[in-house]
Amino acid sequence: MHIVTLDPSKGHELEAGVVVVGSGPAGAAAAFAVAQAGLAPLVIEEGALFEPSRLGQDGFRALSQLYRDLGGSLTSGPAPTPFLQGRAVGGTSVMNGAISWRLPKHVHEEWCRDDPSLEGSLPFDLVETVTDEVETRLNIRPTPPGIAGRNNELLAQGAQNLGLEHRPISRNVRGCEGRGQCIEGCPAGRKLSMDRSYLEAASVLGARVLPETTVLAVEHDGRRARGIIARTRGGHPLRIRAKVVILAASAVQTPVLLLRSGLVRPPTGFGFQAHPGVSVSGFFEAPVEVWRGATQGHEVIGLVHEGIKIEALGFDRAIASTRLLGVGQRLEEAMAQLAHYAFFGAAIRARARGRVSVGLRGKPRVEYSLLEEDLSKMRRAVSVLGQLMLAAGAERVFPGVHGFAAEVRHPVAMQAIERTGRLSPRAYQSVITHMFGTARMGSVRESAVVRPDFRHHDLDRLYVADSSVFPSNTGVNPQTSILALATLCGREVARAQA
Amino acid sequence: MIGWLQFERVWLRTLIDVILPGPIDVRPEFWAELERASPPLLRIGLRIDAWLLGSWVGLLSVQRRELYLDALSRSRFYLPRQLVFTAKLVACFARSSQETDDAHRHFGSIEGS
Repeated sequence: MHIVTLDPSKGHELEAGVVVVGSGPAGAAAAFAVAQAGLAPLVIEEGALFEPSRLGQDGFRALSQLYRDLGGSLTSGPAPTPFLQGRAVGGTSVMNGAISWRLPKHVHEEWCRDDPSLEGSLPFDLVETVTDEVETRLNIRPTPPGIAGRNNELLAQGAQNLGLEHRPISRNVRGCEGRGQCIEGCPAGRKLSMDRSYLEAASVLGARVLPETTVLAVEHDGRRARGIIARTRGGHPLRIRAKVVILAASAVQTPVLLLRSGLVRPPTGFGFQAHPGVSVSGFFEAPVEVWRGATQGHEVIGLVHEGIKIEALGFDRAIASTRLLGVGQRLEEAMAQLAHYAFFGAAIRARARGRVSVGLRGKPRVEYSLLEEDLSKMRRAVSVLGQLMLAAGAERVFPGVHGFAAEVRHPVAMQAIERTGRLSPRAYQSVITHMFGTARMGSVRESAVVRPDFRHHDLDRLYVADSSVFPSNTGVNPQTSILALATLCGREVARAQA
Repeated sequence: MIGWLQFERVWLRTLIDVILPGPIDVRPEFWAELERASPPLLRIGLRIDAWLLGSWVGLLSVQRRELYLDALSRSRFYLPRQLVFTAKLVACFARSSQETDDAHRHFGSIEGS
């Protein structure tokens, strides 16, 4: 990869044809598409470049090095919820489960119902064609049984016994050894995260990557983007003049950049959607060793139509320990038997919409509260997760819902949570992993931030490529959809520049 | 944000010892990394942990410490539950960090021998 290094002890002024802000899936795919057209983009990334062998040491180090805010960025609202974002060259792709889903057709249909112009500018067939390219480039294949590991096998067994549709998860890996460390960054470098796929390919075509640089705002003259203003690793000012700026910094960071650049017209920052997730642990007589096998290698898809997507969850010992019951001697005893615990999780397609604005010291402030219907889904998800555990042979299940039994041994009791679980966000220990919609795409200026060709409605030569442009959440893992749409964004930029 | 004061570390350390009574050697590097990487809200939460829980738990008899923290972790109020969860998170990270360091030292010495 062509990494640019700047003297951190002084300020700099640079020039570039196309600047891409963010090196995660959106930035990497847009940069690659632009580079294919011979435009040699400069990709700016706030995080550092990590060598695979330096990763995967333990949960705490992974969180502190690869995750924004130690994985502790919190929404504001009645129950502050952590939202996980990567901060490294490759973005969140470095520390996610490598799960791949195509954009569901029904989601695309919803988008087109809201804005019929998308049918023409973003036809489903085109998204499908580009997704095929993404799948080929990232070697996306179902997880083979040989590396699944016991945790994934148990989810399959539970789903089979309950009659729920399930399958191995398709992932962007090559030669996966099943080390169970995807979310700490694969120490063997087997995950085809952006730093090991799209960015490398873009570099071959002339793209450059500038890590450890914080973009502060887009520079513009009110009509068109002129470049970006940033801060170097050493805290000195950096100005980059560019013909085109592509924002690909995530559905949280991108609206903040727009707002800090004076582009404050609603709905910028509004319409934030997410997939809040919950997890359940279960104790099995035989060892599970959740840290062995593909981190997330199996999923239950039988409830996706309800907005509930279930996955096996592999954690390292530190993170898994925090999900165990009790404190003191009881916690020590549970930790001594950690190998016997399995973890399943569910992502909820929540209807709630929140808002991203500029908070203290220019940082993002994410206001987000789940609706009652979302909480109903959440407690149903917990109920099904527990039933899956028991159907797979768990002796005991720990739902982790405040106000409900701490430990459950019978499916009937687990079903009860669907009726009696509290409809309060404070009753659940949830985590947000996918975010959307804060600079939504649409043909009507009043209700959208970018046009259907990804160009900002008010500013020429400014594009948004990340999941901010998605009109809604997708109900499934969005990395592949982001890659597909960002590829189309990059091609639009290339076409416009040509 | 100022770094951890010595007595704050002692209070938080007391809390960690109640949550995970097994031996943990919390090294200065761990505190430094925790301070560097934590977002403001987490830093504030940890300080509330130290001041509200850590200082107070230290005044209880050893037998009662665990009982009270366990009760707080199941409190009907959200804040105490979250405070105990945050402290538990840090305790588990501290343990894991130490185990990793020990493993590296062990394997390092094998490689070096």
